[in-house]
Amino acid sequence: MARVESETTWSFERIYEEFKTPIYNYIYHLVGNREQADDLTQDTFLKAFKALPKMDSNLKLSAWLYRIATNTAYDALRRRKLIAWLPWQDLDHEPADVESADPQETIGTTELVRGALKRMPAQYRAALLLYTQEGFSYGEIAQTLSIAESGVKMYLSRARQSFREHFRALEQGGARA
Amino acid sequence: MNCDRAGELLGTYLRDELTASTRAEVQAHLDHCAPCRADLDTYRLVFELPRVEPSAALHDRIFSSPEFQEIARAVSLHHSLNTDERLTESRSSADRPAPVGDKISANSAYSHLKIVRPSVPPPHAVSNGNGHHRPAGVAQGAIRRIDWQRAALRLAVAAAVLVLVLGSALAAKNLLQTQPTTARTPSFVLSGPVNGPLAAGNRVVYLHDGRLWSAPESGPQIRLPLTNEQVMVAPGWAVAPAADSAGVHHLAYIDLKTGTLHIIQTDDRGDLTVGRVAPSGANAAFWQGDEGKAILAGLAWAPDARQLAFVADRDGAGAALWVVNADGSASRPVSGAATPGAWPVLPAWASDGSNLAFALAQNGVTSIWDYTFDGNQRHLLEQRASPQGNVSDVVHGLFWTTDTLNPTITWSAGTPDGKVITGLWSYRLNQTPHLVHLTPLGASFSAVDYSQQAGATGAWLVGQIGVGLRSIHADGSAVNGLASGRMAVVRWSPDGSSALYLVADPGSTIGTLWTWTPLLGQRQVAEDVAFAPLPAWSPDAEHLLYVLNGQTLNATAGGNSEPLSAVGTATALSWSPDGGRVAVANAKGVVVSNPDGSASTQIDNVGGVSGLVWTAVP
Repeated sequence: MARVESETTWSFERIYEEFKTPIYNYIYHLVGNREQADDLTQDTFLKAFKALPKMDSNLKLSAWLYRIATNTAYDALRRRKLIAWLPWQDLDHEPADVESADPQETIGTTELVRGALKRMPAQYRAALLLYTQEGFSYGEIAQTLSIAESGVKMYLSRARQSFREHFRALEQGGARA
Repeated sequence: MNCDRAGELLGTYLRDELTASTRAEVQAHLDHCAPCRADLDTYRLVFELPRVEPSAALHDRIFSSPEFQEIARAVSLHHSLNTDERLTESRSSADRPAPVGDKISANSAYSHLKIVRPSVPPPHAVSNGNGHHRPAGVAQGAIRRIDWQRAALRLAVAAAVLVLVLGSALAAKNLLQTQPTTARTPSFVLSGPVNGPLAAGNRVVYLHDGRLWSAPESGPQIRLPLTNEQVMVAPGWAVAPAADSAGVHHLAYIDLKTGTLHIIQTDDRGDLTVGRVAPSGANAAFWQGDEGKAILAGLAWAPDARQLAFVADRDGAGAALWVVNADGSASRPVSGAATPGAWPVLPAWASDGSNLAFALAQNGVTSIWDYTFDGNQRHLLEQRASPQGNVSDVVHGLFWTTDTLNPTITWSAGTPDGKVITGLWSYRLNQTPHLVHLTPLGASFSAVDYSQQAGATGAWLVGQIGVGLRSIHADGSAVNGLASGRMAVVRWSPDGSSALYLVADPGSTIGTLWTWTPLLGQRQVAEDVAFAPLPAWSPDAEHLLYVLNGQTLNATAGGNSEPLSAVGTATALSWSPDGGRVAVANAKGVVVSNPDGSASTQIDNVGGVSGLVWTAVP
């Protein structure tokens, strides 16, 4: 991987400027919602700024930031599950004549990919995003997700399998992403 | 090359970051390995997802947040206590070569940070030509050096701003508290024979030409003004839901000319000036702005009619929610210190009057609050109108259920333009999880209505886009599909038993009127029914009035319609509380008649009347 190895002085502003887009992009694809990604990106940077003195010196700054971002997103996803939901799928009496969906909502590949990602288990989604979108090596993924390097291969294998299943289902079913 | 090795390199292959020889090896493997090609295809799909950028506002949200100020303060404090260490650090840093490598140097404290923008602009991110950027120098770069003087300066400026803000808030609070909040003024002088009390009987109150008028249902007596001619009554005036001990209803209104809140009695005794609710000199532009609208729409009587909630911004320092007794006493703010650019909306009283919920619009974000009168405490329930949706969503309706054992606030959230409702939410004060998302993610609604009388303790009626009509219990206990179609308007009947809905294309001003009743299900009443005035249910949900082709009609819930011959085209419709009479405004005045059109009496002869409300004078 190409890397620039020169600059040495960092600041809060500098860290933010360097990482805002990749961290935001990563979080967005983890949680699937722009406004929530805004909030979680803010949380991530503030947590990072606060915790810099306690940072594991064996970690790269990038892996460390992505680890905070991952955990912050996981927390949000867990909280999401705590919200009660109504049993909309269990309706006894559905209207007989349901209007067809808006044709403008036809789904493109991007939406299928996003939909498949959204339906995957979060830890596999994280591994897949780090490997493809963020260009992380197996070692960097292991550091970020706090797993053994040997486990990354398994994570990615399951991630691919899960992604394909959901992608195909969406492609065939035309369900909304 | 085997599959394991190739698999490890697919990411870098995809990003075209391999050396030529390694790339050729991977390519050779791919040429004869279908599983690895399939893996590459999968990776490519995710790799090619468009990148998203954070909003420009995110920077300010982070760097002006209280959390960041706290961090900056910690940095500053650390360095005020460790000046010697800083100097030593700075010298040694200058002496040694800049560390190069893939790891951050271990830092035990903030001494290695600075909190100001570096003088050298950050290096450009490396682009792979596909919209993908990764930060340059991502993994290296020691955090060193701090500009503690500038940090301290920033802290000092922040502290000064804080002092100013707090000072202004306190000053505003003092001003509000020291100003006389109640001032009984003499009843106005009228040209007509009025100074109350009015004669007993049912009367209709309405707004015309900036004045409130009261006319007896029996007619043909002349109508009487409840407000004097110097006053310009704003729309949004509110009649209390219950009578006082003397059997009289109170009525609250805002005078647009003076920006003052008034309470009068519907028997026309007295006019109590509660106080100013808008800054001095508030003009038409103010009233048409978001804050002005919030003030005008902010009048809410408690269920027992003994207290009134209202929104006020007396000095332009920001609007707050206030509560005042019906007699003008004990005026006090309940939404906390006013903040410029923030205003409460949609105050909603709990059915037992113990709590007052409201939404607070601030910086484009609407939060949900509850004020408890027992203990005078204010609680932030949710930071957003749509806790999991668009941050810009606003609250369109906020209500309580009637369940006092499990008090629950329920609200609809949607786009600021009001065109789409994006979700319904309930917050259960005594139950976890507190938050209930009543509607599925991604669903949207063209029309909603709420009734405390519907369902067990209150229910929503929704027109779900692409689905149809549903009722949703606000406690989350049930969802029922009722009918299909694209609803432009939905309305519960007053008793919450039945529903009316208008099916129409977006943007239309007429539609097909339908009813849904538990006994008959869906029934079409008529086509081309006007949206304005909205069809009006009778109190017993047996009939509804509507306007079609310039004619006012009365229909049974089952669908048979009869015209009200003496009425013509209605511009406002209102049933008397017992359902025995109807008041109808048209271009020629106001007519009261029996629901079948018989025994009609013209009680006013001016057009342009709005807001017909029935009142009783004992």
